[in-house]
Amino acid sequence: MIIVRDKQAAFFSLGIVAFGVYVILEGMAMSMGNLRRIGPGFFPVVLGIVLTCLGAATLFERAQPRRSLPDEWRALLCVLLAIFSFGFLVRSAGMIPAIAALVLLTSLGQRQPSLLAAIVTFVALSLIGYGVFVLGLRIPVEPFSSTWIDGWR
Amino acid sequence: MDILANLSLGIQTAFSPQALFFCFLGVFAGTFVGALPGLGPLIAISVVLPLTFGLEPTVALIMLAGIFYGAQYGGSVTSILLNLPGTASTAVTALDGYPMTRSGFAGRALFINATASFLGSSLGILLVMAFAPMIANIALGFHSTEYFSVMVLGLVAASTMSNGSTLKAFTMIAFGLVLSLVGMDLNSGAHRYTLGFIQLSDGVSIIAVAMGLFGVAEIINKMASDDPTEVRRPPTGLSLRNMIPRRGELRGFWGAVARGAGVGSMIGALPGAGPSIASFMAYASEKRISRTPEKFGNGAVEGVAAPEAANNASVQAAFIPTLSLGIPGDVVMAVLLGAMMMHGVVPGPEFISREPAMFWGLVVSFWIGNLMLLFLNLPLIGLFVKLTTIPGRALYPAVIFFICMGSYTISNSTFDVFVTLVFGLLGYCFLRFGFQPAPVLLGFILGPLIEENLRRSLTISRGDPFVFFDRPISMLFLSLALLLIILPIAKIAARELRSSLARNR
Repeated sequence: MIIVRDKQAAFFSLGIVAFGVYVILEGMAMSMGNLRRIGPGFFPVVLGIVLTCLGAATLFERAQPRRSLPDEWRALLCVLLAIFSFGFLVRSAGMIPAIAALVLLTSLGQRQPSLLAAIVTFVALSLIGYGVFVLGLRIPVEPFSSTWIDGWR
Repeated sequence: MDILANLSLGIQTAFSPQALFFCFLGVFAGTFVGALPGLGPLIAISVVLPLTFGLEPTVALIMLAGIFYGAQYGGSVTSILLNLPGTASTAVTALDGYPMTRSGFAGRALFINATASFLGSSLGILLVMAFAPMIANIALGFHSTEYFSVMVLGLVAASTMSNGSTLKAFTMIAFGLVLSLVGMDLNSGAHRYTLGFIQLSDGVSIIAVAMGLFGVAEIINKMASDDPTEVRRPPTGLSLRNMIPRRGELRGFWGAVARGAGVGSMIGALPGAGPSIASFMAYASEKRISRTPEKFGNGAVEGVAAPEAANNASVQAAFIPTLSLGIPGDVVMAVLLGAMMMHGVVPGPEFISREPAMFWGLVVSFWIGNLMLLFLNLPLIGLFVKLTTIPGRALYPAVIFFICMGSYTISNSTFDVFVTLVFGLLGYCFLRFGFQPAPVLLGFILGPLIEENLRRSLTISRGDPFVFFDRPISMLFLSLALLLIILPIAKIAARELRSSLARNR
């Protein structure tokens, strides 16, 4: 008697269950120890079981569907891409190009993107970022960088 | 006198030029982010936290705490003037504050807000001074068994207290506990759930988790629902002179403040229930006992005074469980506890006796910070109002940028930026499917402590799991926790039973 009407919500609950099962399996690979001296696997397995059960129970809970907004997907995708490209570019290309990508992508996620607003925001954030993080706080980050290769360090 | 010696120690600490400066910086930044919609104290503290590593721990905490309570002031200013709550806890204030503005009494509303906030905070601080050392003293006698049980009680109370589904709150607690397992197990040296990343051997950063779950998710939500081209016009003609209320205009003020502060302190001291619940409950109860409930919603003095006293009192009282037991009273407190640990300070019952200068310095800085807020913010209100006219299309990229930079500075590596990204996606899903993200952080902070105390208790009792029920205090905590779990289930069961009986008749 599954009462969930929202299919996506049901999938999310199933995702939690799957994650719980993974936690249990991974925990069982470690030493459980005994009750007198519990091993590194004991607490994870217990938590995994709890999480799996709770996740399964949310499947049966009467879901209160929240109306989804028209441009939600675009906003989600653009913001995630913006953060990703910032993380990718900040070392390899420098902070200023990373800001450019971030502002551009975030703006695209908005309901009425405006190029002019994006450019103004980019210039302002570049100045603030350079002033606060490079000059002020001396964070080891370069405004421009050419080490395109090792983006992951 | 002990308290006098402690206070003078605190005054010495909090009045050092460095502490004063960073206290000011904290409350100022707090008001700033409180006034900006979409930027709450939690994100601000997370962004600033890695930058405080160079500071002395006491000074760092004074500033971070200042951001937290400063944000309450900033949020209520925009609630009153623009009907635009900067933070969730000040949304109730708009109900009566904004009608006051519309009928030309903005100055008076701001005056009520500032004084009620200050008085509410004062009660909260007094309670911290009175109860935190006392509770810590009692807790010093706790063994690992009691400590385990009190943390379980804290988590259970937090999830039943939060709004929304209790079942989902429990799920989130369990998720937070699992998250806290990531990293090297200090007892065995085993790497757990690190997925092969060396960067995860110290565990997931609480800053990245907090900014992803709350910051990124909130911005996505705001971007999808706001109209970016909307221009907000602040009210004009605000001056210091029309802020001072005339005689008789403050009828009902003192009683509302006292009741609001009382409700707020009680709620704030409970784990999991933060300022939003406090201000809402204060408003609701004020309306219920009022002889003129029809005035509420049309600019009632009590409707501003009570919730403002309540949310500020609760913000201060939240420090009671945080500083005396190491159990966070609220999400922001969880991040502050994380900050303490990163600065090498061990939270828990020994904190106050081991670090008296830090505890009393922090408490005295609350007074200083609130005084600063009371007097500095009145002339700065115009500036804060201007801030809210920053359009979303400039604000949201800026917030995302600060979140990215904040996670980058955790360890000067891009790894944490990607961790923030993952938690941003998760946080969005949580919001979308009705899971409250707050319990995740509570579970995350308490996870390692719960495991450690569980192991110790079992070792001491030679593997007897019933040790938690043999010791009376531990038994009490666990029974309370059980009661909190059973009560809502029983309530639902009774309701279902009654409705099915009614149907059969």
